[in-house]
This record gives sequence, structure tokens and C-alpha cells, in this order.
Amino acid sequence: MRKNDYVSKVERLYRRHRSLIYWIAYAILEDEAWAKDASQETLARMLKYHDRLSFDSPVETKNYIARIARNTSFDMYNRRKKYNTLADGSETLPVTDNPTEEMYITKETVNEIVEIIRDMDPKYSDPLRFHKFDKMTVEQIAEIMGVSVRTVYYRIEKAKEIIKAELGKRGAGHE
Amino acid sequence: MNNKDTFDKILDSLLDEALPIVESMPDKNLPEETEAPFTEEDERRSLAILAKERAALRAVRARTYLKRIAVCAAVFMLLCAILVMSVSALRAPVLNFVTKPANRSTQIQLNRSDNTDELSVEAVYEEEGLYIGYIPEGFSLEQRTIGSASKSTFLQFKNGSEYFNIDTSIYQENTDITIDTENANVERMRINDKPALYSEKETIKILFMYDENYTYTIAGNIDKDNLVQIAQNLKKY
Repeated sequence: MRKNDYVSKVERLYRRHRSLIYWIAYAILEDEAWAKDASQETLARMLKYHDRLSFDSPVETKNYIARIARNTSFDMYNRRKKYNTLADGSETLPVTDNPTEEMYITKETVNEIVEIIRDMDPKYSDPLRFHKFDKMTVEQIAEIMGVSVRTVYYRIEKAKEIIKAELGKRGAGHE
Repeated sequence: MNNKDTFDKILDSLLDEALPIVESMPDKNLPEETEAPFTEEDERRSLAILAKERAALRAVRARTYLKRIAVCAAVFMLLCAILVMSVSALRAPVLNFVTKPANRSTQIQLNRSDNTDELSVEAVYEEEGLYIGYIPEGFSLEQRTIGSASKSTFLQFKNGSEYFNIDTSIYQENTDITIDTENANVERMRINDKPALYSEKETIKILFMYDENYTYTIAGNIDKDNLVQIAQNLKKY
């Protein structure tokens, strides 16, 4: 892809998915005008992080755009309501039992992790997916999500803790 | 490395396997994609965002091209400089071109190596004979001036639009004579074993020389050979 073509490609992707973006935003913001603003902001962020858009894989692209839209909407919600649900340091990792003692890694483990991530609260799964799959830096994720770098680190660790805990539970269940 | 670190490493590698699978499946709980109520105003806003991005891209591209042009120009100039400096036939004209405008005039310092007494101005006027052994055909004396203040003799010969002047002055030790050589071809030579400077422009040619007693300036629009021949046959007693 020529470097200069990305604007046209992002424009095409936006036009294809703008209804999805709008309804994701509307579900979070519950306001038509806000949802439209969030859609425009999502377009701007898609342009900024266009190099992470996989133009060849429709599902990946749709998931990525949905994540951008979701986090842009949460960001707008927090900014406009002046309500930050996750102030820095306000969240603490739950004390969990050491899952390694109880968990057995099998071939099914990867599939279980897939399901855990898909069922996880996007607040935690999105930063993990941005970081581990889209190879974004925590600074970039913090900008997209409208939170601090520290919060991004926290949420990635929290996502891993959730996975460990869930695997531990399932391992115990298997026994 | 404790159990926790080992487990974290294993979990990271499991995530590397699991996440591509997660991304290959549509996310759960995505809303239905019914047509969103976008208006023309919303469309204009979207287009404005895209236009802004394109403008920024154009600016970046322009800066990139300018940098490339500057680098190419620098390389071209460097190659030209190397070529010019390595070919003697090119080197001289180019250096002349570069240095000539700076040489607006040429100064000649009159300096006699022996310590003979200077001639007095009165003595010069008393001796006032000027021998001109060669005058190009067709030229006749038009003007003759003896400058009492400048202590010089000035003769002008004309033949239609052609002319030449002979200007003599007393040689004065350690004085500077300034000759306009801006944008002129300049040549140093010797005439009758005397140092001389020839300067040629489109409109005027000047031949300057001096001996122990006098300075001679022959200037006009006649050709160089005639000027040299006049100088070779010129003597002030």
C-alpha cells in the first residue's frame, strides 16, 4: 500500500463500519449527538493509528475499529461527565490464590484463554489486545482510552490476573 | 526464577497463541449494524477530518521532496566542484568568474629598488619632452593638457570615433596607482623591460607602465597591438 493511500482506505473502512461505530458509541453514551461526536473522534483515531489497521482481514479490522470506537466513547463519557471511573491508583489488584499450584496447562488451555478474553470486560481485554496483538505501546493505548499510562499497565495486569484466576477455577473444576 | 515468573512467561506465550484466534472471530456483544442516523452535517464533518489529514500529508510530502531536492542539489554542486577543480581547462575560467567581481581595481605600488634621488616637479616641467615614436595611421592630436596641479601631461589623439590618450606623470615613490579593472581581462607584461599592466574591457583598453622617472597610462578604444606598439615607442625625457 502506498503511504499516501491510507486516507482513502481509512475513509472506505469508516464508511463501511460507521453504523457499527455509531451504535457502539450510542450504547455507551446514550445520546445521539454524543454518539455522532464519538464517531468523528473514532475516525480521527483510525487515521492516527492507521498502520494498525489490517486492510486484508475484515474480522480483525472490524474488531479493531470496534475497540477504538468503544474506548473513544468511554473516554468521551469520562471527560464529559468529569467522571473517571478509574482514578490512578484507585484500583488495586485483587488478592488471588496462587493459581499455578492448581492449574494444569493442556492443549485446551489456549481455547479456554480465547473464551476468557472474549467474555472479559472490554475495559481489561481491550488494552491487552491493543498491547499484545496490535503491538501498541502503553502510551498509545493510554491516548486511545483516555486514561493514564499507569492505568493501562494496571488493566493489562488485571486482564492477566483474570485469565489466571479463571484458568485456576477451570483447572480445579477439571479435578 | 520462581513459579510465578515461570507461569507469567507461559501465560504470555499462551496469549500470543490465543489472541490471533480471538481476533479472527467477531467480538461478542457488538451491536447490530442498522443504518445510523447520520446527517449531511455529519458527513461534512467527516470529510473535513479527512481533508485535514490529506492536507497534513501533502505538507509532509512537500517537506520530504524539498529535502530530497536540497540533497540532490548539494550532491550536484559537489560533483560540479570536483569536476571543475580536477579539469584545469575549467578551473581557471571558473575561478576567474568567482574572483573577478571582487577585483574592482588593481593597485600598483610604485617602488624603486635603488635609492636615487627623486626628481623635482620643476625639473620635469623644464625637461618636458615627450617622444612618441609610433602613432597609428589616421590619428591626429586632439587635445594637449599640462596639469600644473596634478603634475601630469595629457595628450589625446583621435581618428573619427577611435581615440587614445597618453597620460604621463612623475614617478612618486611609494604611491599607489589605481586602475579600474572591474570585470576586465587583466594581463601583466613587460614593455621595453619595464613592468606593465594591460586591462581590457568592452569599451576601453588601458595599458599602464612606469620607469624610473615617470608613469605612463595609454588608454583608448583602439586594439591591443596598437596600444602596445605606442607604449614600446614612448619615452619621456
